Amino acid sequence: MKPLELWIALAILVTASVATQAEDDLFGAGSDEPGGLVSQTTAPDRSLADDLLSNDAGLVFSGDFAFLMRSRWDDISQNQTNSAAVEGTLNLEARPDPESRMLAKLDYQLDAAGSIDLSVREWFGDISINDRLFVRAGRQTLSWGVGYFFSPVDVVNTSEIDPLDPDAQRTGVMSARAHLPMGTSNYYAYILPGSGEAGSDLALKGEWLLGSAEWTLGGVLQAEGADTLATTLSQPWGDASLFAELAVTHGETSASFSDQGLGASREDDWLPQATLGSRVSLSDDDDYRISLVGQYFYNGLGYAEPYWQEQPHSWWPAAAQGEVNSRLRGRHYGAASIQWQEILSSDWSSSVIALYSATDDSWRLQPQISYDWLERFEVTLKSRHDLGDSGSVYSMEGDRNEFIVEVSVVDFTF
Amino acid sequence: MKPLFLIVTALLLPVMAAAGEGDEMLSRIDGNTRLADKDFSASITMIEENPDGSVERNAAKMFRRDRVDAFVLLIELPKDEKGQGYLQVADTLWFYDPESRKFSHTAARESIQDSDANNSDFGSASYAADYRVTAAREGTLGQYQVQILELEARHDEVAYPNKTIWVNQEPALVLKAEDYSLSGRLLRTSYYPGYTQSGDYYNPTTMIFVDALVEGSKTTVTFDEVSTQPLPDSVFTKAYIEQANR
Repeated sequence: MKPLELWIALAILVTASVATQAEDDLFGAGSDEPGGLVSQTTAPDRSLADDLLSNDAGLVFSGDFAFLMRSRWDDISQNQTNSAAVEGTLNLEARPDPESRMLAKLDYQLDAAGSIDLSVREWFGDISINDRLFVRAGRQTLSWGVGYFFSPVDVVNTSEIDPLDPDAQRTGVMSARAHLPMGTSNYYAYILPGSGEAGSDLALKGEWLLGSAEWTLGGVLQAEGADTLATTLSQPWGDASLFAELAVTHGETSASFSDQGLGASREDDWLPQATLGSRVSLSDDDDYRISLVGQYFYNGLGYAEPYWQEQPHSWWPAAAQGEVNSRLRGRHYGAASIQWQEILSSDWSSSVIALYSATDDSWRLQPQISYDWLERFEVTLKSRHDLGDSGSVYSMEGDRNEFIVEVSVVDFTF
Repeated sequence: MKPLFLIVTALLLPVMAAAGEGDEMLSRIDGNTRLADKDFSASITMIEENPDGSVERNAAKMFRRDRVDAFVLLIELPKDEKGQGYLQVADTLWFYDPESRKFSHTAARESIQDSDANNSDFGSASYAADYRVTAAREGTLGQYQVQILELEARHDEVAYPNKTIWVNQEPALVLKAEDYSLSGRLLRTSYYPGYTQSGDYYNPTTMIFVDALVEGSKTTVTFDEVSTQPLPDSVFTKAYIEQANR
């Protein structure tokens, strides 16, 4: 045997010997006391399940904070704006017994000028009745819909999903919610304060498993305003998941619009909205953690032609009066994102989000790259590019470019 | 032809007999480690050792009900993930994000918190239902006399299509497992150096998962506060996960 082959064989033998030695140590080879594999359990004094639902410590504080510096520049104003702030979340929670608890979540920001901005994201009380019915009342984040960038069935939340930051936390809604789980099915009833003086709105939703798919059916009856019937479907599929929503609205207060300007009322029409999308997560611990999301949104409450560009003198005054739906005014939307975390096992991550309004052919692109150092210091470079004619959905001011640098220091959780 | 048939049968008979005994051993393992009519709750700690030398610590509470193939995992550490939860019922898995208050409906074969442990390591895996024995031999592992069984998956709903397990003779408990891909590549080695006993149910006190593809990547899972006391039905629902977090 040649010397090199001898060294390789010796290396393999040594490695195998080391592994065998480790296993022998783990399983007590050569121990003077055989056995010891099995020990007896002693039941804990209190149920672990109840332990999680109660806390003898009274009011518990927790939260997080980060020091954030941001510099922003855009090519229309040609101005650079800088800001620095300490911001984070404060949680206050009391769990007197397993059947009840109170929770408040506050968002705060202290800027360089010393002014404090404090807002309540959630505050609510939970009670459970006979461990069968669960009631939550107060300002609470409501989960309604399966869409990622767009969720047409979500008419209960007052804040919309930000397509450029779909995972961002949303401010809660004043409501009372009753939840009745029955095996893998769930039934919900919501009472929400109405927007006018006519009374409260009522929302009902049921969730069921159909094989591996989850299906929901629900409706929202508004005391003043449109009523909505909604259904959603989510289906895992290997490394991917598919999601779809269909909402039909009756009593829409915004009017139709045509070449002749403001048109007839749509209050008696049944207007559909639908969305279909997919998420894929691909992961190899060595090289990549990649997430891709794509979604198409058909907006029946929008308008088929870009009247806001073709007839701005008729459109915008009507929009100012609330006579047309100017919020999501297009008929067809697309969105996609790709996110690559810890690129090649490094501290670098990047993402790109693209939004498209097919009705007026406008785009919004947001690429971003960030570097995380020691999990305490993060630098993010991002830019936003709006492409399209002036007045379009994603490019109100025409083509526009914005560049942002953010530095986050000491993101600390307590 | 007849002599050849007799020779082949004579050669295969010990293997077939060993495989038959091995399948019986799989049933005994299931009898010892599946909860049957009992519920299970425990505090678990996961220590992840990474190739760069860094160590991550995760802690969670776990609840299991094998008779309906359900389990719940509620994350307690790291602090910025506290309140995240997993609810699995049969082949359906939901992930709960306490910030968005959304349940994501996902595939039931992903790893837990990106560790070397899989969801199936915390659920009620059934060796007898999921695998068949293709070969069996006697051996030793440390101080223990073991049966070494080579397993092939009966279906593609398992995390690993091929396994080799080292099984303590009595009680029949898995002490070591090697998980292979379809091509025969070693993907992961698992060690179970200790168990607790509650009645006729055995649960590992420690599980060690060693990534065979990434040198230096290892996850150690320990169990405390183990209990097989009955749990309320509501524990295995979305409502409990929402109630339990902030």
